[in-house]
Amino acid sequence: MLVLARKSNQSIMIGDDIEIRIVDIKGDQVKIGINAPKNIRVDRKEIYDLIKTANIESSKTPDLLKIKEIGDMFKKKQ
Amino acid sequence: MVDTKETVEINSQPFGKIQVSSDQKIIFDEGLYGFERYKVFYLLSMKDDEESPFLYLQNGEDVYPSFILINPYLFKQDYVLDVSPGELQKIGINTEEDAKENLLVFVIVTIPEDSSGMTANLLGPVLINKNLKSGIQALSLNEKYGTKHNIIEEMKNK
Repeated sequence: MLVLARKSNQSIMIGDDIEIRIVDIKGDQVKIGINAPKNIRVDRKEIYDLIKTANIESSKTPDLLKIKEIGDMFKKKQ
Repeated sequence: MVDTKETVEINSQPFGKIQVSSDQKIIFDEGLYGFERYKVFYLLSMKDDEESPFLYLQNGEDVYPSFILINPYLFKQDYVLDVSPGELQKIGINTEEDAKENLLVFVIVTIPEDSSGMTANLLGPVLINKNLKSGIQALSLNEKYGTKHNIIEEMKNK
C-alpha cells in the first residue's frame, strides 16, 4: 500500500477526478473529505464488507422447490 | 417510441436456460456489493407460481450470481426506505412523484438449509426504476437495519 504523509487541509489526487482531503485531525480520529464523480461509490469499508459478505452468502439461491414451499408458507401467514 | 421488446435466452440459476423479455433487463451501473463487474441482471418472477412473494434477480452474463428478492413491506410494514437522495438520483428517481410512480423497493433474502432461519438484508436494499430499467444496491442510513433480519420473526412483530 502506498503511504503518503499529509497535514490537515492537504489533499491527495487519485487520477484526475478523485480528491481525498484531510479536513480535520482530532486525537485518534481523522475527518476526510472526498470529491469523486457520482458514479464512484464511496463507503466506509466495514459497511462495504458487511454488505459484500451478505451478498456472497445470498448469491447461491436454493432450488425452486424449496422456494415454492417457503412462498406457500408465506402466503398462509399473510 | 418504437417497441424494441425482444426475447433473449439466458442461463438462469433457478430455471436453467430460459427465454426472457428484454424489458425484464435491469442495468446496475455499479453492480452489486462484491459483484461490481456484473451490470446486467434480469428480474424474473417465479415460474408457475405467480403469487410467490419472491422474485429472482438473475445475472445476465452467467448463472452465478443470482439473488432472491422480496418486497420488504410484505414482512415488515414499518420498513422505512432511508437512503441518500444521491443514490436515488443515480437510477433517475429525482422527485417524490418519480418514486411513487417508478421506484420498486426490494431486499435480498438468504435462505439457509433450515428455512425458518431465512433472513433479509435491510441494510443494502435493491432499488429499481421500473421505467428506466435501472437499478442500484443502496445503503440504508437507518442504523437499526442490518444484513440479517429474520423474516419469520419480523412477521410476528408486524
